[in-house]
Amino acid sequence: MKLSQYWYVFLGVSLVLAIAGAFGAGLQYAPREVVYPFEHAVVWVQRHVLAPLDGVLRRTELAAQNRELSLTVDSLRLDVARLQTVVAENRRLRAILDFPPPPACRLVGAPVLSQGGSTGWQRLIRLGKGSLDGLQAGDPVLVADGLVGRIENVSPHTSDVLLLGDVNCRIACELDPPPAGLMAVRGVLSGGGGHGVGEESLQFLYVMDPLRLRFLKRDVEVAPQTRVVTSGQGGIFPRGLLVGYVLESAVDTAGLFREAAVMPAADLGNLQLVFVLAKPPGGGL
Amino acid sequence: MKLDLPVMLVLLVLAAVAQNLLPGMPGSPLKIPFLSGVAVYYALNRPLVMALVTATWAGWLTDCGGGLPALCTITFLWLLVLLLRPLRRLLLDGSLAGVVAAVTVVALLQALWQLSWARLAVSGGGWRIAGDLVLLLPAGAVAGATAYGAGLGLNRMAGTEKLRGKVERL
Repeated sequence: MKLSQYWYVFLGVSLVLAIAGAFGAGLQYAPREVVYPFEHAVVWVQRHVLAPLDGVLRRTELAAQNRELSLTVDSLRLDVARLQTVVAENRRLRAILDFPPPPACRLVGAPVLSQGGSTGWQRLIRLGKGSLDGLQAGDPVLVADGLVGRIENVSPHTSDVLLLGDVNCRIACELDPPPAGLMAVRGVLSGGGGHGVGEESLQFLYVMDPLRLRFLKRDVEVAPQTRVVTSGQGGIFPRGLLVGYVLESAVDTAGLFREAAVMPAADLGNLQLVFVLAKPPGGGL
Repeated sequence: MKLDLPVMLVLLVLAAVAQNLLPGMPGSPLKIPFLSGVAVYYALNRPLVMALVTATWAGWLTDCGGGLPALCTITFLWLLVLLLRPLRRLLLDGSLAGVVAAVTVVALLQALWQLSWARLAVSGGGWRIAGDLVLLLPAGAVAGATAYGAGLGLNRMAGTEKLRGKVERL
């Protein structure tokens, strides 16, 4: 067989694989797995070689930071001890009221490999953990400050996370605490994406829009800095995850609902390590 | 000649890693299209069958890494390769200037193709998207120059560039 004939065979195989992947033969994310080791190697070098070198140069600063973190750890240990009592009490009360036990979720730490994917059209990040680590599409992703987004798709070693800031990311949320006299005020939060500063002209300065919390009760006055948390409705996110803080609110253009601008609690532009709230296989939250 | 495949794979992997890890041009969230740069380099400098294999993998890597529907960019890059082949003379026989000029335009066309094929919901309105698309022109030039430099360098190192005359006859 001539060498050019091998190329035609390779072209045919490549096409068949790509088309099979398009029709869901489990190959859709195969090329991502090919690139994963190299992306992971670059991030590994950044974290384990360049960052320690930087640390050597900033020893005094790191020592101060270390002391501060030790204090924080001590404080968190006290919090955990207090919360264990609350958890035990909660379990007893659930048993008395015959409530089902909460699903056993586990936190999986995952490094952020890249931001924006290969095109940049969507606000997403790629994590260095995937289905082999028990992650599934739809799992919530968070950092210590609050919710970051949800897993959009997974391959064996990687997963793509759609960030809160993307216009396609919609989450059922509620105000915490609800305004006086109401049990709950719920709405749907979606990303504002990015936009230019100013209107009606060609824009080159990129900023993140605040998130939009829509379909709130029209007559409710929402105080600025009210916490916005997940409502648990829809079964994707557990209730009570901090999403952000209200900046301002107004009645929408149709005059039917109130809409609030929300500042995300987590810094979505500077994510290096995140946690995935991994659901048990086949389980909801 | 036997090293053509490894060279192509190395170029594609390098381009994919760079495209995923590097940010876009300042002021725009859109990434620099290194993968399309490699596809254009092959379309203008290597045999058609190699160019089509490269287009397939470059498109697949872009689609699965960017949240786009399957076959979106593959289709675009196949059409691009078939369109660019007769224009090689016009594009200075795949020289640096030709590749840079081609990728500059391709970056813009590819973004429009992806927007229309995937029907992506992109916020910010028409002016914001227009700004992003304008910034894709220098991004395309950077991708074209990088793909040309890396492609030529690797092919020369592997010795495949010297055999170009023979390859063309295949």
